[in-house]
Amino acid sequence: MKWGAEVLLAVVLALPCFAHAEPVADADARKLLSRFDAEPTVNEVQQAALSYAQMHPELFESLRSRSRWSAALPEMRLRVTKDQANEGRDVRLFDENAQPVPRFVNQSATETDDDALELQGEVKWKLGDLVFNARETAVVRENRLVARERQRILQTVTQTYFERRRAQVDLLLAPPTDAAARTVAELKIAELTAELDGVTGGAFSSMVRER
Amino acid sequence: MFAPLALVVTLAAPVSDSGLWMSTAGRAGERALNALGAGGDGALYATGGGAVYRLEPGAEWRRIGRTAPRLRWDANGEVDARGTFPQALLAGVEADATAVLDFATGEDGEVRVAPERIAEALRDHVEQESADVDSPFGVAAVVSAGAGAWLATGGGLYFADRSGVTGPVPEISGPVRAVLPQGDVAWVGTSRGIYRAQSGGQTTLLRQGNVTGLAQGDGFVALVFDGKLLVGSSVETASPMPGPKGDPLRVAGDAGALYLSTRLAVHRRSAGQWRLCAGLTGEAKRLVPTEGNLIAVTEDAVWLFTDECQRVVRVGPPWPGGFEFTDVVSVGGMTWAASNEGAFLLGPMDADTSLAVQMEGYERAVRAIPPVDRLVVRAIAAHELDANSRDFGFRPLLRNVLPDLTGHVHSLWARRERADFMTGLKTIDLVNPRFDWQVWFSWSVALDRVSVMAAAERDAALEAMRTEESIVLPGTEGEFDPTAEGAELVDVDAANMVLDDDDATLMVLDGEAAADVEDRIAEDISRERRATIVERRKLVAQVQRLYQQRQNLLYRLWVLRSKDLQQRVSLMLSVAETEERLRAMTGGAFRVASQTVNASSANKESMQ
Repeated sequence: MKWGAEVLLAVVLALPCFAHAEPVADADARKLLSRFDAEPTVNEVQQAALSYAQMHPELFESLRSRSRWSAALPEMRLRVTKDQANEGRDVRLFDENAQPVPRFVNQSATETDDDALELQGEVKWKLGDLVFNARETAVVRENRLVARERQRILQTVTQTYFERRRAQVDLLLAPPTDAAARTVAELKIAELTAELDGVTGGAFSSMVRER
Repeated sequence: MFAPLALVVTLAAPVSDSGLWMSTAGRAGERALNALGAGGDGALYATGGGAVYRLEPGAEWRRIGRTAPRLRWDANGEVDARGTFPQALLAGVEADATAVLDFATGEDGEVRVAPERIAEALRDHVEQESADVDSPFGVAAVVSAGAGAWLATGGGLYFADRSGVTGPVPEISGPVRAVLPQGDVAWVGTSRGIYRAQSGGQTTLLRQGNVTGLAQGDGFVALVFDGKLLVGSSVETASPMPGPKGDPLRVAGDAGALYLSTRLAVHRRSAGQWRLCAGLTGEAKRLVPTEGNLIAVTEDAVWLFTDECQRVVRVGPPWPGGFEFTDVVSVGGMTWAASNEGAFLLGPMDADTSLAVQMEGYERAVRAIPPVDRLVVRAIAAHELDANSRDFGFRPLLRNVLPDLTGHVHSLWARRERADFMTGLKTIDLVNPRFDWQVWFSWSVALDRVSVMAAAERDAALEAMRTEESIVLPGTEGEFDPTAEGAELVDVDAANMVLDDDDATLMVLDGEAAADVEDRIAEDISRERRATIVERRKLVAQVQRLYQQRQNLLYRLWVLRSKDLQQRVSLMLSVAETEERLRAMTGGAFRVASQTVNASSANKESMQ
């Protein structure tokens, strides 16, 4: 096979006949969109939103197994009892007239002081909890709810991000001629920026400023 | 020929757009390629992902060998690099890939993610490495030589011909950036210096430095050496030459001219003068001279310079989206391009061919993502609605038959002092402390609770049937079709009132508040199952709807090509948004082999 520069030249010269085979709109559209390359990507905004909401999936990954393994630690009870008692006993005899019988006065008189300290300890493992912990159902539910909430955040961020981008593109491609319409268009972008800041704790604007 | 002081002419040639790229048949037709070149045997050679492909005239692309090992991942979480390569290269590739897959295994070494995610990560890794000329997967150039072609790779110098691929040449170390054959000698530019390789096998390191470009023309040789342009009558005598403004990146030469690319422009030097050929939209990845003409490649276009750069034709990608050119070659009067979507041939355009190319692009874009059923499975897992995340099996039942294990320790210290006033005696009793201990197992199996657990299974099944009926809006009959016109999902909580999530969560978390924990467990399990079924159906409908929406948008973008800029940008943004929503919904499983729409790099990163 021989290098055929003359044939290549022929092809190249013929090409302008089919000018704009790739629609110029594509190149222009990409060029237009590349104006926003300095802004944070939607993934970065999503991550910022998840961080702000503390809803990264990895935070919840081990919750279920940890809840089960928590049963490996026993339930422990300690009891300390201090007992102090003082008891005096005086035995007397009385006759039928309820008069003390003199010879039996002070028949018996004792006093007892008790002082005791009791220690009790108990550890209890619920072996059944190692197999299935009652908290697992709560963890599973919590994981589901968190996953649902995470999705809500991601979908909101994505929708708002692209809505804002469309508003920016509209302002560039079809800028309103009168001041009022322009102000409304700019306010729309500001509103969407604020929404993104709201879900990211201000990180969106910070990222825009940093670039 | 080259005056020491160059006169730079800054008047650039006007650029016109044109061209139609047609796909090619065979293995390299749709695979990501990073280099392409003509061999001395009249065949074309292409490389991508470590594989080498060859195309003979009139035939299809076929794979003939590899310049980088295959990667396999085994069940122990180890990456295995295979192939007939030096041990150091295999070990390096394995180490890099293992580091990339760190996310897949926990600290205990247990694999935490699905095998298909590992495969995706490995594919991504190879793809990224292929774009790096310092990596064994990266190929800087395919250069015609003898009966085949030299392959300048990050892992060394290889040679490909009809019989396959051999290499790397052992005497040459460091990533190879450029090769310049001159008769029996091949000059090899690497990151460590320039080597002189004799056909007899002798290889010597001539100059130390970082060589990124080598070219020759009539009576001159040019190098990009340590970031400077060197020109001379031979490689040994080349000395620095002032060039146009900007750092020299690529160099090319032909009979009468020297071409040099800087970051955003291509310059031509002849008769002692530099002339700006054209400003480019990006960095030129390749400069390919072809008898008085030049072809430059940027990510988004191939630029054909003719008439000594007086005329420039820009040929964009065959279809919109994440198409990226990587290399180009002109041979036999035909121009071929390598890209991240395969090898393409440039030809004149007609309306029918153009439509066929658009349809092919659309079909590829549709094929580039996983089928909807796989996306649904991944979305269910991402939402913690899959069986692995929610199935308790027989564990709740087993919990009731396992005993409690109790250990008890007791100790008493006591003193009793008793005084008898009658006898005057005083007695003191002392109980000295001593630890007594007991250990016991206790079973308390409430058979009624076991039956409650079993009943929960049955209740869940019955409730599921009721639930499925209840999510169809009044007025819709028969099988629930979430994609049907008018079908709408009712809010789960409001429709069934089975999800009193917050209350239930608190109830169980505050386990003490539950009158009977065991009964509560049975109730919770049953309730969770009902909720799972409802949410799964809702999720499936959402994924299907977004998937269908993406196909429709792609069709409008690819095939029904509007020329209106605002409409086109809006469509691109809609595609990007739909893909992003699908990606978020499937926990990152929705990935396009090549980014469908390069809308502000929306999909560049993957979310873990």
